[in-house]
Amino acid sequence: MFLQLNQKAYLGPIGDDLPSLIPLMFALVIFFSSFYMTVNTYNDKTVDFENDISVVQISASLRGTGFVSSLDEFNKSCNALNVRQPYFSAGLVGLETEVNVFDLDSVYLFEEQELFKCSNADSALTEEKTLSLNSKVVSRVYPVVMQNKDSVVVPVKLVVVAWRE
Amino acid sequence: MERINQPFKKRLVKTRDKSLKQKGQAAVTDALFFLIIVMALVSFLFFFSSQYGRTVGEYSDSKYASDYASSALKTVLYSSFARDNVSVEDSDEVDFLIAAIKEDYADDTSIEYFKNDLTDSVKNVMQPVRNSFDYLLFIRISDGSTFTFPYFFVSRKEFVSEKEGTFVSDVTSQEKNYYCAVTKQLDVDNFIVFIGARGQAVSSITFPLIDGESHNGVAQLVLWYPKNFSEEEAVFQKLNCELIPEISEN
Repeated sequence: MFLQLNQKAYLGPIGDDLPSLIPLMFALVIFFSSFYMTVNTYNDKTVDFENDISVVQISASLRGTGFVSSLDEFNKSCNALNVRQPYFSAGLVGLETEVNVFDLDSVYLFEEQELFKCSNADSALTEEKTLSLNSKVVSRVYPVVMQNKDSVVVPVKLVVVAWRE
Repeated sequence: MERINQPFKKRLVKTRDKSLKQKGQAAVTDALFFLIIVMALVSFLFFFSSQYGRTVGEYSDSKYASDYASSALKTVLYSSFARDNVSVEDSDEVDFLIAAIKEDYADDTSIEYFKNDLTDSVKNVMQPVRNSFDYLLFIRISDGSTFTFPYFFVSRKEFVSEKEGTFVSDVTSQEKNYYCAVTKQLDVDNFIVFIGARGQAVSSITFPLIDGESHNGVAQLVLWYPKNFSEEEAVFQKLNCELIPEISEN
């Protein structure tokens, strides 16, 4: 009887700790949401770096000495590439041509109807391999010289576009 | 309970009441300490996510600038050039631009006749990155301990605003091109440090002279992120640059 009289605001073993649960829950929510954000940022940046490194490797291989003497030589450099991921499309484009990454085939230079193009996304083209607005895209441009059929050496640009879904 | 005397009963109730209050306070304090620790962890996570990959990103950008500079220099030097002032495709006299430059240098050790053709070629090759980088290209001849610069071209952007103050929103960039009459290598080095070069490429060139001798030279291309400075800047003034109005209008 006397215990009840002297236990004002006593809500029981859990009820008594109720105010401490508010900062506890707040801390847990803040921690897990920031942890989730950090993991996402880490994954995004890692993917970006992998794309960057791949683009550097692809462009270095296709540029060679910076002198493309023929389509055969370009194709030889292309075949030497063994990149499975990310998907990429690279090719030679006129120096003053505006490049739209979603329509690269229309701007690639060609010789006897064969494009100066190198890509790992052509065979068995699936939705996943197609560059879309949701893709993570990295694109780089490098100037190179290309010898045409008249033995004239013209400056062109090598465009390399790599993407992941 | 009936046997417990009255003063003892009072003391017992007081003690019980006090211990109940203390228990509640301890739980809240523990929770607040936990919150402080979590906040420290969260700060670390935010710091980590903002800093992660920053160095790699900077290195990647710098590598791209260097790769672009070396590719651009090769492209400028190896490109074909029409000697009869028509397009390369229609010309009957096609030669390498560097051959024409060497020919120009051979008679009077200066590059004047094909200077604008070289400038056009450089601007053409740098066109894809002209919004990202300012650049300079020079040819330097070393004659023992002295250097001469028969060709020195600078292209940079100047940022202008009609309003004044710290926060202005109407900033526009204006491309400015210069030929410079540099006399000292030190002035070039100081300028490169001042602008903070992001990518550089150097290529050796031998310039034969008509008397059978030859001069050793280098062509150097330097890229940097656009940096706003006025023409009165001391390091820039030492380069003795002259604005090329007709080219900047292109």
